[in-house]
Amino acid sequence: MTRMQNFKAGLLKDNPVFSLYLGICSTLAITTTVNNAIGMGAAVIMVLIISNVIISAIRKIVPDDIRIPVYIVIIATLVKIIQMLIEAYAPALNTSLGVFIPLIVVNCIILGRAEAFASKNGILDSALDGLGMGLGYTLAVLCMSFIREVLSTGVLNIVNPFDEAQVLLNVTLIPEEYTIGLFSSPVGAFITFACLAAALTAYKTHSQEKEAARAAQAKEVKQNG
Amino acid sequence: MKYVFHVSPNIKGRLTTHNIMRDLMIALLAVFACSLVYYGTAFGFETALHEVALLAASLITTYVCEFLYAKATKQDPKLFIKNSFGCVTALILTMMCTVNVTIYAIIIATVFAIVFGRLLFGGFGQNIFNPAAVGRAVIFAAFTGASTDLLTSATPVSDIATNFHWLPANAEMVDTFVDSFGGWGSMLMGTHGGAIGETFILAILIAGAFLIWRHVIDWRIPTVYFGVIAILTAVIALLTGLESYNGIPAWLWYPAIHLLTGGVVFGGVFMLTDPVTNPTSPAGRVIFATGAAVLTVLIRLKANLPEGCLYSILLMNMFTPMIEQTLDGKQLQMVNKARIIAGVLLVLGLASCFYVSATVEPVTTLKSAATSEATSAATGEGDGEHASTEATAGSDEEHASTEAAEGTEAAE
Repeated sequence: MTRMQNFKAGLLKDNPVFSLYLGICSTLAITTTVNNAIGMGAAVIMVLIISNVIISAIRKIVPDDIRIPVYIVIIATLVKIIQMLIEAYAPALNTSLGVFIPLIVVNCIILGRAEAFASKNGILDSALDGLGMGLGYTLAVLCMSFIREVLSTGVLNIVNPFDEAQVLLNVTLIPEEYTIGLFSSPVGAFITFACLAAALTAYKTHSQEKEAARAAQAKEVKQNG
Repeated sequence: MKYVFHVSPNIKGRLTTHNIMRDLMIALLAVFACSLVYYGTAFGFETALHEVALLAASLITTYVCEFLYAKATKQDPKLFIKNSFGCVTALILTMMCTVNVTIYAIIIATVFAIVFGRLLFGGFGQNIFNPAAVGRAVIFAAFTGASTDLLTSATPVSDIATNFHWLPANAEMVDTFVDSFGGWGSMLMGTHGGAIGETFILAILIAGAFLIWRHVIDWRIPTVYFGVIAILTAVIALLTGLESYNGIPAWLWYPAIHLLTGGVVFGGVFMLTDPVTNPTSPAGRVIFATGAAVLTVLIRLKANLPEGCLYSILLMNMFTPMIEQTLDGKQLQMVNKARIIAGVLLVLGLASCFYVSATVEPVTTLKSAATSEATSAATGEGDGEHASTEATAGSDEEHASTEAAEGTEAAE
């Protein structure tokens, strides 16, 4: 697999949330507003890239028996740093995300990529993989939070995370009497998640079938010719 | 000579799925027509028109959903719709709603009921939950605020839940409650505000008798359901020491109030008996109905929800596969097992009655502060801790109002 393919895989085909079903806990919990999703996505991307790079760099000197504790220590340190940064520079985001920032430590995506990819590949590859997977996670939470926020409040509202007063975008897409409050509750989160995951699976099956058909056709042409 | 060979079975029964569904439709439409007449005469032509519009919107949404699903899964839409019986779901859903539900709300609820409640599970016969109940739960969860102002008067359920916590202590309180809805005659007939299907209890019972006679529904389910509710509420009435009402002892009038108020009759006749979502064996059905009755009483008295019937049906639907599996095998050998299970359930229900009686207080004086919350009111003294875990819809707002109500009580 080339580097580019590797990077792209995390976005759609192996999307960590909708395809590998990793890190669902935070996905379900924080996707009530797009603001939360942006903040969470950015935090996960940061942690994922840095942890992948560090783990890839030390992969040859870490004894196999204690690698998991070592990874956890590295990830926990990084998450703590990110948490303190968010607390200092984006306090509003800190209050709305709450406990889910420290919980990035136990987010399966990060430990999963460390174990499955960074501990076996070079530094540049690992960094790209971290970026791809992080972007895949961000894409997933953005999709979910967009659907949930618009359906439950009717308004798409994005503010600058570093300055609450600065509203970047505030559009009313659905009049208030037509909003569905259900989607701001956990029930709505599960329904949205299931629908999106099903849609991605359907898309993947469809494209696989198409590819298989194309391959069969090519083979036939080869045999005939 | 020509021999005609048929693979068995050679005798065809009258009870095909189409016949069952046709009988069910007739019964439902009769009840619907009764309520139409009542709303038309009591609240004006506009209300009746809105009722018809609700049904039409629900039916059209159902057919659109099923058509699109059939197209998406590459099936013949005409055949699919014919064998899917979505119209029954639409009709039951409409009848569970109050008249003041908006058209938009019922369209969304129907989409949820049909798509998530039934088609995604594999269509007719495969669904775990009663699709109509799913749709009604969606309206409860999503559209509590959104309602048209055709009917602003409180329904008996919201009134007894908010003002009396389902426990009016003496004759005076019972009179206050019953008189605000047109007296006992009106309670018995069901001629008062409420869900469309709750109107005309008498009509529902006649329709139920018709369906039992046609073998469409099992007589055991409604009988056991009403019976267990009556037993449990009678025990609660005795334990909490309710006073007699004009000479009628508490253990008689209190169960009557529980049975006549809200969706118990409609749910027991039309929803618990849904052939898809209840167990197939008679013993299983008895267990199923017992569990639903216990849950109904518990949710009414202890949870933060105004009506327990709907959620008890949904919760028991979840247990149907479990009941089926437990009673799998030779039916005659299972009878003892079934008796034990039903007995244990009943004992558990009675035990919970003792718990309920120890924790709730009969309402002796009417609190005027609580009357403002009409539809989504809290029941019991349910402070988060006691509210049963199933009651997810209990929002913070409701907690706040309950606490406020408790505050005024303490002040008095």
